Amino acid sequence: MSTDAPAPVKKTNRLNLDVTSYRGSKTTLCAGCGHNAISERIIDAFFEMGVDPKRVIKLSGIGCSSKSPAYFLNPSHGFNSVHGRMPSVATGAMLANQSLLAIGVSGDGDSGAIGIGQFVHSMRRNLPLIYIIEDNGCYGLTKGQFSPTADLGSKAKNGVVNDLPPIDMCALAVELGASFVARSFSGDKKQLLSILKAAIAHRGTSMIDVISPCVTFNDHEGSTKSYAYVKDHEEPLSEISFVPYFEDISVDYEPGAATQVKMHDGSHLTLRKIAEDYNPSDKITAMRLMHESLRRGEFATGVIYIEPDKDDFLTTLNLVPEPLAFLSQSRVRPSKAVLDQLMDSLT
Amino acid sequence: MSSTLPAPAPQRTQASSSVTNDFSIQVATVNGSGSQTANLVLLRSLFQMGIPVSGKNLFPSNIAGLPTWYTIRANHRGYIARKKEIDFLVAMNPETAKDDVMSLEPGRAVVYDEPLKLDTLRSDLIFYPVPFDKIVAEVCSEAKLRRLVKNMIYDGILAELLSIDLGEMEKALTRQMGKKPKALALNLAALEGGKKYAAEHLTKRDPYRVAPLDKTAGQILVEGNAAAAMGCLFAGSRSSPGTRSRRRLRCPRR
Amino acid sequence: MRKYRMDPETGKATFAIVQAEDEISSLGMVIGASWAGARAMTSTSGPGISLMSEFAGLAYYAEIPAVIFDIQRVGPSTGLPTRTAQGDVLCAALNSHGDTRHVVLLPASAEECFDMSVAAFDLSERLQTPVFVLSDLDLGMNNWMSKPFTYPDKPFDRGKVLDEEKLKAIEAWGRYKDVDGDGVPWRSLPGTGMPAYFTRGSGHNAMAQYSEKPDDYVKNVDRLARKFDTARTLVPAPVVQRDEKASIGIIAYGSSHWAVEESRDQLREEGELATSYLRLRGYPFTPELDDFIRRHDRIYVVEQNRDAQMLSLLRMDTDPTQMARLRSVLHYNGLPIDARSITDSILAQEKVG
Repeated sequence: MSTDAPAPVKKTNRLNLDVTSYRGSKTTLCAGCGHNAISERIIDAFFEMGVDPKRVIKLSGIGCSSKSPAYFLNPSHGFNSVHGRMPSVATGAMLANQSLLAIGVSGDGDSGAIGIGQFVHSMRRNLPLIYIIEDNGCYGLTKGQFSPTADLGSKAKNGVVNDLPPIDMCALAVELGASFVARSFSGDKKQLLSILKAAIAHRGTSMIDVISPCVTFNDHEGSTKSYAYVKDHEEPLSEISFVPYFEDISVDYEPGAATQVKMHDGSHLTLRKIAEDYNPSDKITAMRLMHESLRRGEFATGVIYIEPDKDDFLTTLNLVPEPLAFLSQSRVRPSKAVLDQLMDSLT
Repeated sequence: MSSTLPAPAPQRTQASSSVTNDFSIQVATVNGSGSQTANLVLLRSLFQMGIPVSGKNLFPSNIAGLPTWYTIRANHRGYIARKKEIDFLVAMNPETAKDDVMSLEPGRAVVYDEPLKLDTLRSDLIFYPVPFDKIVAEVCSEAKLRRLVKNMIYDGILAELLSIDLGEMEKALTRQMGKKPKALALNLAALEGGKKYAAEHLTKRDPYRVAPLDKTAGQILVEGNAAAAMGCLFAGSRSSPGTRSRRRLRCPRR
Repeated sequence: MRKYRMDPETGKATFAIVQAEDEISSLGMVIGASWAGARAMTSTSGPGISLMSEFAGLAYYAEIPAVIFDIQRVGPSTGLPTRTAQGDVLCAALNSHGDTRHVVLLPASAEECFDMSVAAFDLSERLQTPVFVLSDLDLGMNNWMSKPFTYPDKPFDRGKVLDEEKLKAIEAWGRYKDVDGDGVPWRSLPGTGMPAYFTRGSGHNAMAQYSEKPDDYVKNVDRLARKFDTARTLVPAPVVQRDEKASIGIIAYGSSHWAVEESRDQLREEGELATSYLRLRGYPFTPELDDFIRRHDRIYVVEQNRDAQMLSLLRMDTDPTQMARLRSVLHYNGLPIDARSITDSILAQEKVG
């Protein structure tokens, strides 16, 4: 009998890939950075959902958060663009090839300050894009200045107190008509993973604000985005479970206690209510919940709002199903007869 | 007037000798008054007569109400750049009329709305007063529509004064308005009304005239932006984001 | 577009036209689309070009095609938005901070607007770089006579796009490797199964990896300079009309052409002055420029801007020992340039010596 222990069987997904196909390069972010946990969850989500990495594009702006796409999905094309302008690049890429799956990683500064304009318009357009804001309330890459999501009264490491009210990116997204809005915490593995999987299944913009503490510049006493503070003040709105379309699990739930959402690809998202009045299909309720928890100094987390059947931007453009990028010349260059006709009309 | 062969390159001469196919016409109007159609008809009729032409718009940064000038240059040698001097002014904008007249070189011609009394400003120009309101009332019974066809009258006046083939003008007008029979009829009437008035009441004293040539055969008239847009179309451009470009590339924009 | 680019079978569009919220976003979309393999363009005028600066630099450095039309109008700032000028030459050629050079096309007629539009896409994809097509208000928004446009039957040049065959042929492919010696690497498109790489505006090596190493940086930007030299062989060459008797030359570009032609006749007929004429049609400059400048005692660079921008660009990019020959004829009041102004200026400058 052989004395060698059998090699552990690597778990593979429905594409027969193991998780190493979904990993990226080694992180150069600080140890303990929330962004690293988010990268891990992205890897897990894409692996478990059996997404082909070769059809994924990962985009980002500038900042610590925007460095993170290098740390997941090595086989996918990446685009680290310029500060605050990731949405426009993502829009162009998806117009060119709508069979791609786009994940955009941004930060609270990248999207909340310089990028607020592009953020607003991308929420309106509902482009198929997983839009992650890795939210630490500060500009980590440039040494910790307050960002627009820093809470009023929170203290910077050097003692300076923030005297401007924060922008609630999730509330803004709901207001602007985003079809999937969620908030999570880099420390909440289970919740974040479910949200990411639902985002993969969603057809439209999935805007996910993930509180991701900056261990170097914003994890101290007085910060409202530190690990300690967030853990204490997180208020999950619901218990989330997600069953992808290719898994055959039936979920039992008490009617009335949970919202069942059927995603565009046939997956099922179940949201078992924790907060009173939780109704992720109603914008006004969602806004109220967010404002009320903010007033209490809490973070409402989970799926805040979801509209799975909203038409996405590409659908409204009525494009041919084949990617525009790969259409043959004969399909995009009109014939000589057309030019002759145009010339005749101008003679 | 009989049509004669084009005279060889005439320079700036006295009013008595003829200057054929070599002049610039400037129409001074108000933005949004419907002069665009009249100007394009004028441009096209010369083009259709085989005369090399250019038409340049000088419009204000506004939607309506501010002065606008349209300058047409006809040149038998094919010079289509802007000509520094204006030879023939059509003064339709009371606000700029005085400045427009004062900026002309001596010996030039001015067609103007009679009530403006521009002939009192200078004695070294050739003035053609035209009662536009009276003429438009005769050709258009509906008062509300008069504003829209008033400008077409100056096309008729110029047809008579410059010997522009009215048939070509009518052809150009039909091309612009073919799909709107009522508007076409009204504009044709205005055109004819203008020509009739000029024939009966104006004595030609300026040297400018046109005569048919054959220098535009097979050519097209097109805006540069439209040409560029067509280029994009035939280059297989797939994606065209644009911004608040009201006046930029029209065809594949928006 | 709707009329000519709907797929006959499905009635669906083979194009996308998007109203962007601003010029920054519109160039971003063009870049994203081009990066993913679709031909894309946008059009704007002066203020938009300023806004597009940052993305123009990214497209240059990360080597992504983009076609941008600039319908020049009087600047600076809001300027005279409905008047014509040729004042974006330097801005377009050098658009962005750092060492940046863009390909610029200079149509002078409606026909060239068409032809150069078609050429711009080929050039942009061949060179993997932005191409600015500089038109102006006079050319763009007035009616021009033209001979009918010629149907472009040359097939699209999609440039160096990596496929299976090429991947096998190249040893150890890297996004920014100069395998052919012309400075233009091979790019892989997302969603084609070709090897992925990270596009970035920060310093990178030939494998598209982040790099701060001095050698990597220098090698990369030197290759971009080499690429610009390759562009020299591909941009539309100038049109030269040589008068053997002429000791004076005229250089002009864009819609000034028509007034220059008339002025040359005036100079000859009224001033007995023979001139040669070089009409610039593209940047980077081609060898004809140095040759033309050398052959004439004095060269008048005619342009519609105050600061002699094209002359300045010539000073930067052609033989510096010949620069004393260059003089300016400038017209910048917002009205399209006229022949008389050119003639008067040249005659006056010739009298002075």
